[in-house]
Amino acid sequence: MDSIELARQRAAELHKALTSEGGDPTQPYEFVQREADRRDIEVRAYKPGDAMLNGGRALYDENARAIRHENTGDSFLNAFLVAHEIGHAEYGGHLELSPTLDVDPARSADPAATGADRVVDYSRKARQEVQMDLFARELLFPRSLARRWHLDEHLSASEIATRLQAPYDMVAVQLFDALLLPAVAPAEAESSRSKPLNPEQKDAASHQGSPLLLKAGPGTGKTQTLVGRLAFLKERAVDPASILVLTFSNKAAAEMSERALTIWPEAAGTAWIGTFHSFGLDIVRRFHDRLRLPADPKLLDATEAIALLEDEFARLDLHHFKDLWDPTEKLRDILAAISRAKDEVVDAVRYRSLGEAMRQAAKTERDIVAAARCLEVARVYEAYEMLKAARGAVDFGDLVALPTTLLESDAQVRDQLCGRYAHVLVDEYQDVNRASVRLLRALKPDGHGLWVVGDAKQSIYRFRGASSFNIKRFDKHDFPGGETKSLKTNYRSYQELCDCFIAFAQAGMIAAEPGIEANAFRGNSGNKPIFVSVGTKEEEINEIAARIRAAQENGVAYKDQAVLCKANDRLAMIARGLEAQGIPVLFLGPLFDRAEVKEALAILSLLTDPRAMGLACTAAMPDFAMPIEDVEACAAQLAEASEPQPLDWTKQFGDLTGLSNQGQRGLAAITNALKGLSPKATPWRAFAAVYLDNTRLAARLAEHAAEGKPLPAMALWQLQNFLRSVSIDRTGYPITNLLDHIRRLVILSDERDLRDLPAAARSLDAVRLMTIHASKGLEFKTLHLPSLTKGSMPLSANRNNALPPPDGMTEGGSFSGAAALKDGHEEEQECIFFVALSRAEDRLILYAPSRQAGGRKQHRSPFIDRIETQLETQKPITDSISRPSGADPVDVSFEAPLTLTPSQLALYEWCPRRFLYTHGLRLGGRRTETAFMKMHSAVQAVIDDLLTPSSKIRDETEVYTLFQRHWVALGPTDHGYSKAYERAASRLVTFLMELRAGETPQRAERLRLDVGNAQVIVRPDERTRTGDGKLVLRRVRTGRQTSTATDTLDAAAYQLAASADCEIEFVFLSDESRAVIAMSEKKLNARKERINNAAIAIVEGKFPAEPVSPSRTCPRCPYFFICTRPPTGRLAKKSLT
Amino acid sequence: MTADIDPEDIFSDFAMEEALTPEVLNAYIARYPQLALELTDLFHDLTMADLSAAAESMPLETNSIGTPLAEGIASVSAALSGDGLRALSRRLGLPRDFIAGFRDANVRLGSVPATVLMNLAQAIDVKIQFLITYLQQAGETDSAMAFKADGKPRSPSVLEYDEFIESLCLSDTEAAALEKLSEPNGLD
Repeated sequence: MDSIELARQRAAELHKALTSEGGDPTQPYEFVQREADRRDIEVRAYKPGDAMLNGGRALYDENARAIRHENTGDSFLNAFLVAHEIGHAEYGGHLELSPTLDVDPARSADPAATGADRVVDYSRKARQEVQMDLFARELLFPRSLARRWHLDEHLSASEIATRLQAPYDMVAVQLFDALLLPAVAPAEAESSRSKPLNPEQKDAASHQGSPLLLKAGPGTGKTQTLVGRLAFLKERAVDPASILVLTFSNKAAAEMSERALTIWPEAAGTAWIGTFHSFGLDIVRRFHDRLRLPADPKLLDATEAIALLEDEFARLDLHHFKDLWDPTEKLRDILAAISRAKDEVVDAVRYRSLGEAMRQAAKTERDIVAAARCLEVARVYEAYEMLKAARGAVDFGDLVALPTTLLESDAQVRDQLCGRYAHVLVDEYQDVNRASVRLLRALKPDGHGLWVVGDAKQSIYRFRGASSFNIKRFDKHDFPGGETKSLKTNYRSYQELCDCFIAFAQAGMIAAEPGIEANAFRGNSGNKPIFVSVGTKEEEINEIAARIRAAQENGVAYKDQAVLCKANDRLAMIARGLEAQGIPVLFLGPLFDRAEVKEALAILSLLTDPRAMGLACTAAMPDFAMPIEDVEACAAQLAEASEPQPLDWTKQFGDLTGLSNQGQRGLAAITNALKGLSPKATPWRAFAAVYLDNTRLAARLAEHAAEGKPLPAMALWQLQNFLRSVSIDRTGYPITNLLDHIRRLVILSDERDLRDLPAAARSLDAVRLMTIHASKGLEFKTLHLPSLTKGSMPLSANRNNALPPPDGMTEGGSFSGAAALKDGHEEEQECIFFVALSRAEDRLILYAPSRQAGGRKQHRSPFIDRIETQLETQKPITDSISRPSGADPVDVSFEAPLTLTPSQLALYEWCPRRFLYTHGLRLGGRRTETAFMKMHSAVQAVIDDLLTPSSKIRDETEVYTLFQRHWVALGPTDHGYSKAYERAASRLVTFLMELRAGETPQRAERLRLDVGNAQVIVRPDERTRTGDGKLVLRRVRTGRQTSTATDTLDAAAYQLAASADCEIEFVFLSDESRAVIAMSEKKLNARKERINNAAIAIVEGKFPAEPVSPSRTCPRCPYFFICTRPPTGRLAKKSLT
Repeated sequence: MTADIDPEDIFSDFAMEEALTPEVLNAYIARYPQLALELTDLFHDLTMADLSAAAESMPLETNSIGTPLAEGIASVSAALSGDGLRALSRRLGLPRDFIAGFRDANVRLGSVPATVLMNLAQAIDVKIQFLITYLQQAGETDSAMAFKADGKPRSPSVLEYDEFIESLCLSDTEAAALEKLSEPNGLD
């Protein structure tokens, strides 16, 4: 249990004691005064800024046993300041009169999970202030009281705020904590974590002189030895201010700081303990003038960086990375390449010169393209650096690269920092990249006082430049004269498990060093790790469930078992399967895919979306239930309104006849849930008002959690914590901006940290499900490793989509950028498997499905072959099971025969649920358009006019006039780079005119295709006869051609509907490509079958949310935030045309 | 360092100062701590302060006070901190912060009424020069603690006595206790 939770529990105890002695929490100042009196602490208020406050807002004078606080004029805030200082009194006070500079009654226990704040870790003092704020909040308004008032007395957050005379935000935050987080069992006395070091640990901890690399395999007490090193430095009376401890995560830094405090209290505040990035940020701030940056430069996260470049994209005039429709992904890949360059301290100038060198050396077409792509990345890199400089901003990559360059080039800075840090300790050295190593070399040129610990076999952050290469060259090249020592006693696993991962390392593992061993302190268990070959993936889940249950019956609690996978998608499936079988799991998965989170966002969207699409989601919630036909009627009504404004919909349905009673009740309930809120509301406040004031939604989640379903409540807690911390610097409605921001986060996978469970969840007795990356540093009694198939472990290097670096960029890797990327990938895959194998304490079970969904055979991972002799192969203990049925069908009937268009077919194949929303319910309208979208809209309007059979436009001047008319009406004319967009748009039209040159347009008839009981109506954009007499049916799109564009159902519908003498041509203007649709008869028949199946499924109301590629398509879908389950009811006599 | 200098010369120099301000007094006391009481006396005499009458009743120490000084300062320190501070606060009926203000030298020494100093010295049973020397030293050492690793610099400002009292917002009872402390022989 962490110190913050301990403090919170202590405060709750104190509150209970005070109330039992007659204390009244509704009189907060008197309440805390009572506690101060009990402790013989004198409390006195001062004017703000009084010299007695030492420049702060409050302080605890332990020597005098007195609290001084600012008189804020607010009784609750005064009480909060006193309670905060009582916290300091409870936890040892201060060595000197250090004032509390600021307090935050509504502080979150968990730090921000997205955005730049992730990097800025907290000093020991800052962490202590967080602890005291939570202590104070709990002392004044404990979670137990919050639950009682809200759940039993039905008081809303506003009513509680009035009763306590407390700030609303504080009350709401505490209510969310109380209702949505699981109760943490009272703290037990923790056994001392400082065990005596064994001889090999002791030898390493007391090493002197030369730089030391300590190779510490899994479970060998790496952190213990690092803390031992600090103890050794303490014994030698080293000044703690001369110690620098660098880690790779804030979590590790916090743990190290806590442990340092235990053994060496004075060091905790003075030694520098933090991540490489936070240390880098500190240097950037300290020497900002030398870096030509402002004193507190803005820290850009990936989402902000992309937003910055997006506006410039048109101007950059890229060829290989051109994507004018939605450049987000291209920019993400380019920014990742730039970040990798910074890992190697390669700036934009050097990047360009490497690209130029590639171009000069290029011999084949492939080399030429590779060089050209690198040069385009260099162009973006240069623009990006200029944009950042103009804004005084830095990104994550800069936080190590900039200090490294500064130290290497500025003797004064180097002298200052080298002189300051006599001892540099580095945790997880296998995770360092070249920039980090160069920073260390600049800080410790002779390596004296450098002490690092790591394990090359656990190097799983290759994508951010980590490499076992750094461990290999530690003592020879980077720090000549360095020594290497090893820890070989494993305290975690039985010998059989150690033998297993050692056997894997010895079987050709790239990162493994020779002579490795792991001697289990716990000896043998008599049980080898188990391998089970199961049937399908579904059967695998069944098998895991059975084995989890068996282990639990043998005394291994659920919380001591874990399932580790490489990817979240598979984890999500396993989580669903285990939950369906009654096994509690701890796994949130992608936060914005969760139904309760989408519901919350759909409700918020109703405040700003004039088309009120969110109703389709809220109508499926019990509190706001509406039949699906009423939702359709509302959507139709809104579609007719011209230029509706946000929240107009709350008034528009009054005169809507035909709504059912249930529909009217649902509408009234959702309108009431938004009571008092305006479109300008900030997301967190609106969320709090809906869930805590206007409805009993949070209360109901708390009840569900109490009934054994805690995940929805925790997911919403995570959401509100995100809403509270997220900061979006844009004009417009904050909720609209938030939803756009979330889409971007999901597209960029920058919301990964939101999948982490809140700290309070750790006490729940549920099976842990997590990625192998997330399991690093953890251990579990029984460990399940599923889905170890040939296709997934190792993942093929071909599926690594990262851009290859320029040749010669990666120090120590292959010269060829592509080869360096491949080498690193293979090494990383082995390390991932090694990390997974070495997490188990007692039992390890490996699983591999032997059949794919279609029945085809599937091979197990070749990594299992490498350790076969260490495994006991067992047969499954479960029988095969049938596939679980899909989503419930929607009750719908269509006009017969069902009539569809090719694009409807394509949409159904793309995602059946999106088809329902678009054509079944006809929800919404246009989304907010980006400049790119506006450009395409203008071009589309030109095309529509040009291709009209009645169009007489032929010559260039007429086309130009037409283009100008639509450009002024629809194009992004107010954009800073509108000229660049206009040029691009003009080129699209020009291309279309060029390809139509010499053709004779004809009247385009609509075509009909009968398939089963359905008919498909095909309307080509153009029917034309080419100069050589060929008859062409043409479809024109402004976007790019996808790899499957000529294979889709709509392409098949064109080909099937057209007569044999016609050629079908799909034109894609963005990449100036034209594709002839000419599927083989076999393929065409297969597509026809699929069209028939799709038509049958539509008639049967099957609209599952199963897009082809969910992670790519869902965040771009207009229905992303409302896509839960459709409302119940019946859609009758639907026509889709 | 000042052993060979005749105290009378020092008093003479002090009396000849152009402007006899508390700052000048502080500067002299800093240089000649063993003459702190005499200098303070002289200051008040010269500035028409009514200290002499009260001072007459006190046993004055005019000899070198090397070793006894350290002990005396330690006594003051003990009385102005921890248990001593809280006991003194109770005894005087004044806030702990009042005593802490002297402990931390938050009050400019020259602005403290002599009677308060004398009564305070009496209350903690030390000679007044020990109290004065302690207050001077506390003022000097305080600035060394101004910066810590991750804290903001502490406010270096030192309050005038009247400001200090005002900032404490004393209750009626406490104000009465202070009045008593401010009277000659107020503690008798």
